[in-house]
Amino acid sequence: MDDSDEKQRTGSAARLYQHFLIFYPASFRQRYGAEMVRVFSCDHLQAQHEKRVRAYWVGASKDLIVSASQERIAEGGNHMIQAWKNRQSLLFMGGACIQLVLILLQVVIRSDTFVVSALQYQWALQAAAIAIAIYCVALLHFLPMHTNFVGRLALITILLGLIFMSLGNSGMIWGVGISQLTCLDAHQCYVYAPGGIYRWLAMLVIGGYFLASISSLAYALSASIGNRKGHKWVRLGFGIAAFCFLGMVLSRLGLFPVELSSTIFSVVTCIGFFIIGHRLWMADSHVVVA
Amino acid sequence: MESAMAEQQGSNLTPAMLNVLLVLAQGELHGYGIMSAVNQQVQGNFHLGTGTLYRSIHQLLAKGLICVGREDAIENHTNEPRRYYRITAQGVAALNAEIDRLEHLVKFAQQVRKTELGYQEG
Repeated sequence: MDDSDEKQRTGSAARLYQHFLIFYPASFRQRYGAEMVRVFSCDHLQAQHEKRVRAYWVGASKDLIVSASQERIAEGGNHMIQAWKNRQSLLFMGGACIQLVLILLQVVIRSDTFVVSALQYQWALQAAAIAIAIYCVALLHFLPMHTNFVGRLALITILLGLIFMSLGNSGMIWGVGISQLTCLDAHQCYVYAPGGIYRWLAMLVIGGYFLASISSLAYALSASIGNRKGHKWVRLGFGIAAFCFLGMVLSRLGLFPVELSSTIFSVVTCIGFFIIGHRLWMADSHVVVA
Repeated sequence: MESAMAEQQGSNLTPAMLNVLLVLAQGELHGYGIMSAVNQQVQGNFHLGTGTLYRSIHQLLAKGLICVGREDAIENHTNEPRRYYRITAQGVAALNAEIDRLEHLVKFAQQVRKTELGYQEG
């Protein structure tokens, strides 16, 4: 094997190694990637001279897996500490988790097999309302930086509805809007829909909430891991959620007329959340509600 | 206070980090230079791979035990300069503390071998 042949092989090996660097965290790769490829090339050339290329690749692969995993774990630990310090992302994650739990509750509680009693259902609804109320209070602490007076007012209105809702049956009318928002009422749309396009609309609503929650959780996770690219998923979540709010209000108005107050409340809630969503969207903020 | 900190940093050194510090204590070197020197130093006991080398460099830089020295402009497809690394005063203190610790450990091990295991030298 002549020198040029050896160099060509090393060049190919270095290009392959360069691709493997994807296993390291991005910051590490950016800082040391070029140097690592250069050192690998020299070391590989040396291994070729000594005719131990196969053994060299075994060792290099082992080294890559071990060191990349260690670096990922170390960086993950640092980001977890950062996330702990950054209460906003924790808060956001908490809210997203509550939403997901509520959707699951909705599926389990409202299923045809009816695994819980009506009283237990009421308790679950009230507990959920209190949990979201706490979430909203915490959000209020952070939102002023990103929303105007109307946005805050909308959130306070929702909060009031939740407080009424948590008080018992008499608060249910006030709570209708927020129960829609948290998907607790979405399944009812499906159950009472006469069929055809309305059922499809109800399914869109349930699916939309689910997607919005997943995307909001994905954002929270990506923000905690340090990758801010999660933003586009949040925007998608907002888009879907906004579409679903509209669909839900329309289906509510068209399918089964309810008390005027709850309808108005639904509309106000939707407008409030549209404003919050729009503000956050425009501000490209780090605090996002989904 | 400073010696306590050096001791603390010394005891946190991995074998790869210790070897990199030992090599850099002899003079400024670039990545491949460090790797070759370490692999020569350990005489086949272990092979320092590229990933482990740069992880060690990354940790040593973060602890302030080494720093980036001069940079050579070299022509290749990345046009990235070749960085030389050198040991810092803090690194020297940590290395001394680690050598003291290892010396102590070896003396104790030799004593145990002589008294408990009945090992005779020579």
